[in-house]
Amino acid sequence: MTRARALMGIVLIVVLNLLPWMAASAQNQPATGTAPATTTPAPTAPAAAAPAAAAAAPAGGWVAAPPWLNSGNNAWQLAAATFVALQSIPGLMILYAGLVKKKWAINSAFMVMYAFASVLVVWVLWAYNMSFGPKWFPFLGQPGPATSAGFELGQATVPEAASGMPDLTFPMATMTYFQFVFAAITVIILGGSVLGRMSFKAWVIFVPLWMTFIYTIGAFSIWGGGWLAAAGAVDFSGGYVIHLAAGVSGFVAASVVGPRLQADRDHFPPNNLLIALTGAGILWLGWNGFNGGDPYFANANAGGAVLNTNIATAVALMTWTAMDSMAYGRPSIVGAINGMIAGLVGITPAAGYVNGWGAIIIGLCAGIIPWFSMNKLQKSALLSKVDDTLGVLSTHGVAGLMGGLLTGVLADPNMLVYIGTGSNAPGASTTGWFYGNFKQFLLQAEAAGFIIVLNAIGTYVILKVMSFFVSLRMVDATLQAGDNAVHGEEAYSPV
Amino acid sequence: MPISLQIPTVTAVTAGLSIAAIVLAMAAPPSSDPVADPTRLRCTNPASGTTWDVAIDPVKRTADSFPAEITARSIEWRDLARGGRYEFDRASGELTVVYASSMGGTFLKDQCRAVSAVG
Repeated sequence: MTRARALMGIVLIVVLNLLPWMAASAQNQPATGTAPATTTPAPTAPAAAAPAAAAAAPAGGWVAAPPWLNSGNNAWQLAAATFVALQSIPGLMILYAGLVKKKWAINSAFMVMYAFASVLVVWVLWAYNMSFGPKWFPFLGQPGPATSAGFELGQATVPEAASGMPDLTFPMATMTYFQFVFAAITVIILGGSVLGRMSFKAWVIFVPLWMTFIYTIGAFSIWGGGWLAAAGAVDFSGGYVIHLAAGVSGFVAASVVGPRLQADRDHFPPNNLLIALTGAGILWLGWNGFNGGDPYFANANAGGAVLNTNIATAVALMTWTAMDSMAYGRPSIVGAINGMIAGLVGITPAAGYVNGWGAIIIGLCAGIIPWFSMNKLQKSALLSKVDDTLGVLSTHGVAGLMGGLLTGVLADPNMLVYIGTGSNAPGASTTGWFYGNFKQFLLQAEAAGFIIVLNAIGTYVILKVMSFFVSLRMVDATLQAGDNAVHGEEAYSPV
Repeated sequence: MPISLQIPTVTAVTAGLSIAAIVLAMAAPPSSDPVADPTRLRCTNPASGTTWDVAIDPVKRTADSFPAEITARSIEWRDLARGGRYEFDRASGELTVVYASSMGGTFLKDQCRAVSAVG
């Protein structure tokens, strides 16, 4: 307890020391887009929103929005962000709460809710700019707040990645929130590996540390214009940045924190499958925002990404169910949920890059490869020593890795993310091995290797350092009692 | 007798031609390398037909004044102003432009050929 207070004190001191610097930079406007073209013209022409804004101007001299803002794109981006937020709360919150043993329903849900809240605070104070701000290192952006009026209402841009996309037509506030919901769901997915025994205090400390030191590096390297993006590795919506990272970090965390009680490992029945199914349904449809929002425009590619997401998910769910039926003699609804998640995860890095056939192939693979990982590999003598409560390594780590590598194979150059003009016509796309570009597969493998190593080492170090100050695992007496001992509350009233 | 004199004559001529062919072949650039020493690349976007030039300086090893890695197989450079990376395959004439975007890399494909005049 004393050590925990000491650690919290250190965190508080660090934050207080950052405050003056944060205040000084609080008025910073978002970095501007691109420098003038030299070799070729700019990638694409931005959508023109100015005439609509000007036409709406009343005699008094007011306009509703700056000329760069496109209300349709902004509305879609905010809606997509809200869909993804709903995947966390209540989606994963009730999915976890329903899938775990009755005595852990509240603790599991609370871990999700706390993570969602704490990530937002970290995100706007420093982590957004570490992930999407101006370059500090090739793998990390400069920390800084995303809180000033000038920042929030300025035109959105990702300064290090601006050359590969049209000028964005919504504000930085929309961008910051949209990226926050991805950051939040990552650590929430990771939490699925340590349900049923991780100390809530340890979780409270772990979430902001992991967000600051691990997530930001992966996000900047691939999405923020960092070294992997510059090399040409792709990840449409987070197969690597989110799911591979969560799968690897979750598995490492499960190993370092230690297992559940043996009795819980032997007998851990879902306490409410209908609640779990409700969460699973929110997760599936929420993915329309997850993958459909990533082009940053309500454009044709967004539609393609949404359709491909649902195709792959449907195929994966059916395949996983067939695998369950063949292996165990009957279809399982929990298995179907896992198949659904594996399909959603598998298509995530590829959603706007592959065509419908590619989505079907990814769905088939997602129903088979993660199934073997969960039902065979994670039950082997070696890997079963690590108590990955919900099998996050398989449904997110393996599925994300598989999807990322298959993107390097199946990416169709005709799936234009943005339409180009002039020298950039027909537009920006990615070409996979199947279409003659083996190099893309190698780039995908390189990016996967980086994310795996980063998360394995980083998560291990964070938890080991934390373990000097706070107990990572609840004591056995608390583990026996569950929610009532940790929170003084229970999901189901005994009376 | 005349026949016996003809054989060494033919052999000598054949040998001479063979040696000359080998020497010429070694001196000439490989036929699969259409732009061995380009001073200017004329690039065309196959979809739009837009054409533009890239100045290559093999002595200073630059492309459009940006530092370039020039090898027998490719010319690669980075647009330091905009962040794009350019990869020109000298054998196929294909120019790949790699930009960083918020989904990772994104790619554009063009075709280039060498033109002799500079300026």
